Amino acid sequence: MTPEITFYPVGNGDMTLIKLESGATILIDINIRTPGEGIRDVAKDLRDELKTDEKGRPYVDVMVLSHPDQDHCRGLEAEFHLGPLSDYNDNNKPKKIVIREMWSSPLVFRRASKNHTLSGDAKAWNCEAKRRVALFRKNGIGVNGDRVIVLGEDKDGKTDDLGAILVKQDQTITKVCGVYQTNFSALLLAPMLADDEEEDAELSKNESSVILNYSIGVGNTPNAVKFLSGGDAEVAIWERQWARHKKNVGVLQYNLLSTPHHCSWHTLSWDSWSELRRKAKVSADARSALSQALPGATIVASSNVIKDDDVDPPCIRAKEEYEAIAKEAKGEFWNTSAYLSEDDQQPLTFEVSEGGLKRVKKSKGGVASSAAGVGLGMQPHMHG
Amino acid sequence: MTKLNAQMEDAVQQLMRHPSVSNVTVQEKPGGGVVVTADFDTNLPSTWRAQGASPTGVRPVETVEFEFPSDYPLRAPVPTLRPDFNRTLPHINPHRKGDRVPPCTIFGGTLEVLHSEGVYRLYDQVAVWLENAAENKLIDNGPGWEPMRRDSCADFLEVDDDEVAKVLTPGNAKLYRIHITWPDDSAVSFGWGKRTGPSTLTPSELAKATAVVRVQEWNVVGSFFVVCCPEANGAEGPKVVDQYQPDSVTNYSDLKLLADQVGCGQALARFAANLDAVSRSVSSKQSVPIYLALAVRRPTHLIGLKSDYELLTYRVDIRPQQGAVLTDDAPARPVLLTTPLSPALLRQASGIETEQVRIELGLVGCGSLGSKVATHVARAGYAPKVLVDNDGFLPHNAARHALFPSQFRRVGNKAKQLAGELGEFFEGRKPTVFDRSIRLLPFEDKKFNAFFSNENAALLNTTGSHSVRYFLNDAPFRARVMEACLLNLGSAAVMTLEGAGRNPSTTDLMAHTFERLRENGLLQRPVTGHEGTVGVGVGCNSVTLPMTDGNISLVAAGVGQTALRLFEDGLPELGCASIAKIGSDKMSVEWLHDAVGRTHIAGVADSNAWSVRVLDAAHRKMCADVAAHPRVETGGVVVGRVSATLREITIVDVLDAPPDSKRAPNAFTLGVAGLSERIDAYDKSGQGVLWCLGTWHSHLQAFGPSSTDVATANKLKGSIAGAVVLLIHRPDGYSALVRDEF
Repeated sequence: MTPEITFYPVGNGDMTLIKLESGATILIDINIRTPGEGIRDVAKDLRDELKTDEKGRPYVDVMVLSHPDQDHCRGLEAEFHLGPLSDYNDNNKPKKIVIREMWSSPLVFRRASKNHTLSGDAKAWNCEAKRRVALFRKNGIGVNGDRVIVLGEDKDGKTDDLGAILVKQDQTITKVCGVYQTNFSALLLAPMLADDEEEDAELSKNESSVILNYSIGVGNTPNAVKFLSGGDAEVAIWERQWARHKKNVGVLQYNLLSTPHHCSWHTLSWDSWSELRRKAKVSADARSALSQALPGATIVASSNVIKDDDVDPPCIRAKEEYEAIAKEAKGEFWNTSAYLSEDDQQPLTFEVSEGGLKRVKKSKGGVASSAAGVGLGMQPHMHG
Repeated sequence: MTKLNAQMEDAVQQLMRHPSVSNVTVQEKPGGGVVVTADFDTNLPSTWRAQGASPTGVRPVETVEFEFPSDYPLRAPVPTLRPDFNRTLPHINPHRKGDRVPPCTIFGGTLEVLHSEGVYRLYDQVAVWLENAAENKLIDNGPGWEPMRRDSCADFLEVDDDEVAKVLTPGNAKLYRIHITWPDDSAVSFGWGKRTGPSTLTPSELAKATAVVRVQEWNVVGSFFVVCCPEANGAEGPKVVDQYQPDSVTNYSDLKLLADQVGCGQALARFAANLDAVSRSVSSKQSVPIYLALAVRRPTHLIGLKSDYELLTYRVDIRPQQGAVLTDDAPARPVLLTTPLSPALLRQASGIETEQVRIELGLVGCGSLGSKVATHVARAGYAPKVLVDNDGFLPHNAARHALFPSQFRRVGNKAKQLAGELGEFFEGRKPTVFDRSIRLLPFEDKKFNAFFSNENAALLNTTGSHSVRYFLNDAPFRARVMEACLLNLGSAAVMTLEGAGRNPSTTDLMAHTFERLRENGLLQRPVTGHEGTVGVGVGCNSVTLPMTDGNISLVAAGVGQTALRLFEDGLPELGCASIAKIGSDKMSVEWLHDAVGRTHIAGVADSNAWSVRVLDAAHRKMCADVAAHPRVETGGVVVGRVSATLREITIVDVLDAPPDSKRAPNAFTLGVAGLSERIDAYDKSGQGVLWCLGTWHSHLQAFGPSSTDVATANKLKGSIAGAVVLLIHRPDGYSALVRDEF
């Protein structure tokens, strides 16, 4: 099938679905709010895209949680099955979504601290990830529904015994649910393992998100689209990324960037936007890390509508910076809350083509069909 | 803006509303009509968009011109792209190099799509075409290589591409003899009848090829089809040409260029030299056409063919002379190769996929119904083997026969004439004909024996004749008899097919259909007297039934479809009996089908040359009744028909025993409660075709009539006109007693 990447309109939050050529699905974060005025039913949108297993249960092959903040895991307990598959309740309507394999940051091994007050959904993720890790420790790699991959090492050797389910910084993932994928890989750039306690505290403060650079291929082009996805990683993290990779910028290059932290100014600068406004300065290194845009690169801000005000995120100044990066690459900038329009928010879907990203065109309110004069069905084909 | 008519105005508005379109402008054309120009966003993927073009050269925005004819929407708008658009992409219509490039965006007729789906669909197709062109996805070679377009050719050659491609001579031209015919204005030409040709052209061959014969207003010549074969490229064979290119050949110079591009240059040059050399000694008054083909090797087989070679064929007119015969400016016109008529082509056009032919079909009766069924079958590529009819054509046959009056001969026999016409479908191979009565047919004669001794053969009887049916029923051959006829002045029809081993037989099945017609209120006494006949001459023999050709066709179509299914699937084990009801609207046909099991023959105890046949339906009912009464004798009333002529009784069904009947271990006593009424009702609905025949009862042991049975039979004698039967169901079969009185 044609690979696709869909950004769901979830305001200041993240929710992205990757469909690979093999048909495997990777869901990055969720922010499923109660649908209502101005809030789209993205859980329904997601279910419409998912396959169901032989028991009719919808599933994602992989769910990646970049970090356990509420705007990245909201709706987990309500919409997803957690716990062993033997406990699945087929009577739920709609049926809960099975996560065949979890890709989790090592934060699950840490206790909640004042930096990490965990929501119910975050606790549920941690609990489920720990259940799966425990099963691995007991029985080795589990079956779908029990699988887990831990993204990055934790300090104090807490993850040293994870062996086959641990992916370390700078390592590449090539399997989904244990199956090798010809046109897919994901390079783990963060979380980074701190050298000492001081750095660890620093990294934690800067939202130690998972950063993955996904390569999504099609046909004979395995690197058709590189998709850099960095959760809420902030300026300190990006500066460190630049320091690590400035001699090998390939690992930071992208055709598609999800702006970290909902187009937040703190991704690009140490200064406070609300205090300094236009005087605030961009961190050259963070910008360098985030501007390795390949020709035609597309930058998507998954955030509320970006306005020229004090609010951050999303920040108008960050948007301008990203627009400039996109322009340099002859690419485009998109905001999930403005597609199709602020009043008619729809999932923003790109097809992966050998020539990069191709937007799946949508038309407003069925204009096309009425214009085509096919509203009441076409004429039957006759033979004589 | 230019003033447009209302339809064009709509078309422009719809173009503006397309999401891929911007910058729409309209310009009037000097000769009428308008050119509407629009920018199409080709939705290039991001990387290519940034690079300014896709690898196939499609730009992020392509300007498309739609040429609307002045009589739009009677003709469709034609889209074209910039003249330097990549012409090597597939699905580009023929055009001259340097002209604007016309994409082929619609499969089939653009005008039809315009009127079925609207003009917006045409725009949408252009947008889709451009997107696919950008990604080099215009073609899916899964089903095979798509041959070069030959949409509006005026020249046709009937030739089997696969057959020609089998015998290529690398680097040389291969010559085939063909007939070509063309009118004086040369506007069209048609070639056919490919035969082996000489290895090279000689003066005498060329002289023959330029000797034109006039047939009415047409010129006919024994010309050549010249296949220029590509040079072999070592062990890899000829080079593979995997690039599409629009056909831009308009003269011999273009043809030479194309030949060089596809590796056929040497072969074409050799032929041209050969032609020039022999031309010096041949004089000719007029130009004659020859067809020149370039055999182009493609990376995969052509769609619908086995061969990888595409024969790009052109007509060039030659006139032997001193000096070069094929001059650079000699016009070259594309020739459409059409598949010659063959059973395979007929089956393909009929949508029949299997190549297996599982049965042979013969016909007794080549009248209105038989000729139509035979034609249906032949048109699907299946040739009837045997035609039997002793009847000649009379003028009134023009009302319903499949043949046209021009195909009748004054004293023509129907079977012979039909065979002649059917042969035209099969390169002249005609069915074997017997033009006398079927009763005289020598089944053992080697002309007929192969068919009649074949147990996978079906002989379709459309005579509607009882005597023919009875004759066929007992005739000693293995082919199964199939029968179809219309009844009730065309308001009903039946179709039957004997089961394996010719059981049930054709007469059994006809009796079965009578019962089914009775149940459906369709059984009628045969129409007699003037109401049912039409005089078509003087004399009591010259009458026919009044019925339209369409009425016969309603039935012939169904029978033809059944015959085709038999050709594909083979003959079924069970017999088949179908009845058709033609609706009062005179156009609806409702068929009811039964699979009919074997007929059981009752041993007639005190043999008096009667035979008693128990049809499957009656047998099943009796078996069910016996199974329900395992410890006592049971019974009822048998119904069916009697042929006094053949001394044959056919039991089609049984009626339940009256409620006051008594069942005991050693006797069954048929009660009387309500029985007379039921028998009267049955006899009435039986219309003199079916009636109550007597009784049946079961014996618990395998023995025949008891003395009580004989006494009862004797008592029954004379109670029913013709013959009365007392049938005994035994664990091992049937016994019967028959008492007749005429």
